[in-house]
Amino acid sequence: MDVIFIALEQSLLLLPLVLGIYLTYSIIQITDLTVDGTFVLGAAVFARLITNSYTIGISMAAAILAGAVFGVLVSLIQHKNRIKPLIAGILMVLMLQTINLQILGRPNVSIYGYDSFVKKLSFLNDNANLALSFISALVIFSILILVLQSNLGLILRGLGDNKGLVRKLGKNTELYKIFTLALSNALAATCGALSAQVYGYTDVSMGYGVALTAIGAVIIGSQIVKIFEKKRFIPAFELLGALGGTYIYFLIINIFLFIGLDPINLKLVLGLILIIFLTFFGDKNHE
Amino acid sequence: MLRYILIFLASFSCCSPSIGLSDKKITIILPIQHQALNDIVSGFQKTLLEIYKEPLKIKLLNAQGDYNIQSAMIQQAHKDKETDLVVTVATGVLQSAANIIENKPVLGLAALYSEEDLKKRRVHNISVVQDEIPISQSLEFIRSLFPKIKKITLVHSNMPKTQEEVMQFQKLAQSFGITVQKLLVPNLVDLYSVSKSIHKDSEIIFILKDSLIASGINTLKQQAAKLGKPLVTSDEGTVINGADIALGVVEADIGSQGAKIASNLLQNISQETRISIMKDLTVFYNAKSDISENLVKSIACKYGYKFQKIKTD
Repeated sequence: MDVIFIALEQSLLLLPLVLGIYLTYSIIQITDLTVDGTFVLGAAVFARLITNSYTIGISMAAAILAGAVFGVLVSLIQHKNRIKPLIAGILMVLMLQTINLQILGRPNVSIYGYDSFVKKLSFLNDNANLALSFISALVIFSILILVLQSNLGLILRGLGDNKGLVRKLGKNTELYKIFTLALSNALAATCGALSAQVYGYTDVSMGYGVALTAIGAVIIGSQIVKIFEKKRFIPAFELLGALGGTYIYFLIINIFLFIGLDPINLKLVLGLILIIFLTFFGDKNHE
Repeated sequence: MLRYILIFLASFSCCSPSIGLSDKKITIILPIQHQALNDIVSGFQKTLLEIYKEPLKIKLLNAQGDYNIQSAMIQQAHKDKETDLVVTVATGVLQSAANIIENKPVLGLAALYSEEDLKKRRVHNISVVQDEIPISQSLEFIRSLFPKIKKITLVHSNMPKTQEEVMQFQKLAQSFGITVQKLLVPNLVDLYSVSKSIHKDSEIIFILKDSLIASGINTLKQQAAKLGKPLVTSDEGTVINGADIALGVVEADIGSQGAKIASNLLQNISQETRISIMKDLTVFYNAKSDISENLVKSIACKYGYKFQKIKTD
């Protein structure tokens, strides 16, 4: 049973980032790896502010805003396809390595003992982290369902499926792309800030590989959704699919650890699983 | 098909390994694959099995540099009722474990944890073995080897704790009239190009205890040989791989020190000192070094350090 709940806690904690990747990868169909950097950016901004006596509210808001700003920047780099999204994302991650280090002042900052949402939920003892992950996931979930169910969500889906049509309808496609990348990276930064509170520290290398993990989770999740939802786009199902994919990823990690599989082999197995899904179920239309 | 896969995966929730009721169980968590960390663990296991006579089960886990895997390991160790002691190696893992685990003792090896953070804790379940050599000792050692030294090139990464040590070293060196050229290596691939920037008037190349730079010691060694400058480091592994000399601790000794603390923790003996600092330092001398062996031995003797000559290929 522990393995099930550990996987649940980890997947709920990473969910904001996964949902951000879902927006870019599945909705507007762009592969954006910037989240590797904005995840750490969110954690770095939060850690820097909270250790300088700012409130949790201001620290979180600043972290989210920082993520959104860099989402806008990466979108501007890609403006009118001057630079491919994949390359733009990689370049941004490279630059964020320096920026994050400058913000933190050093590679690792402990925030143990400082004010945090985890501390506020400490009356729940061992369940504080799970509670925080659940509450944040629920809030973000609700907001994204509203966005996807609205006209804005329809336009975003149109942008991914048929950009030409959206343009012909008189919509500024670049503006919607900017919005989505800003939102996606804001979610990644939120995830980073929450993770810093759960782990108790921020480290400049903590974002390594999160983008690929999230893309893998989104792909696995999209296949789960296809089983239940064949024709209509139902936002709640789509987002639950992303959660399902994330949960399966962490469940596999935890089960393999539990049965004693050497983690050096674990990464190989995870990679093979993702290759199978990408080969047979991946969408080839991505930029 | 998916239904059967989920049932298969869920079935693992019913499984749990079983060990004897009286067996104590230790879970050791490492962050990455690295020889120095493996040496620490070897020293820990060897000494613990010698001094702790009761049946003991040791589970060794390596996160391979993945934070998600590391987090899963810590969570599982936390929730595993059969784990009596969690041992972490390196600072990041200890910080994560300390934040999550309050229901059992956590022992950090080769990790930094401040007195301030220890005092803030609700539950005092953290013990630490620190392997940091005071910067003043490192500099004193260098000044003893090279009394007229005026300039040092300090090659470092942006790994945790290194930044503060670099600033301390620079400040202290300046108080002795020694200029420090700092060369930051962001990633291992950058080491070669960064090493080309070593000033010609620099008299030695120095590395703190820095696993990223240690991984690329061969590159630095080549550059040092070209420039005709000695390469002074802070751990045994780098001397084995070609550095001239190092003042450090034997990695296995860190583990051994930790094993003594672990034995007390397993027997529920109160652990008064929460932060244990390694005091026994060793001078590691490369047999192929141009630095006089007799000089090094006399300095080691003067400061009460052990002397270990390392023969390399």
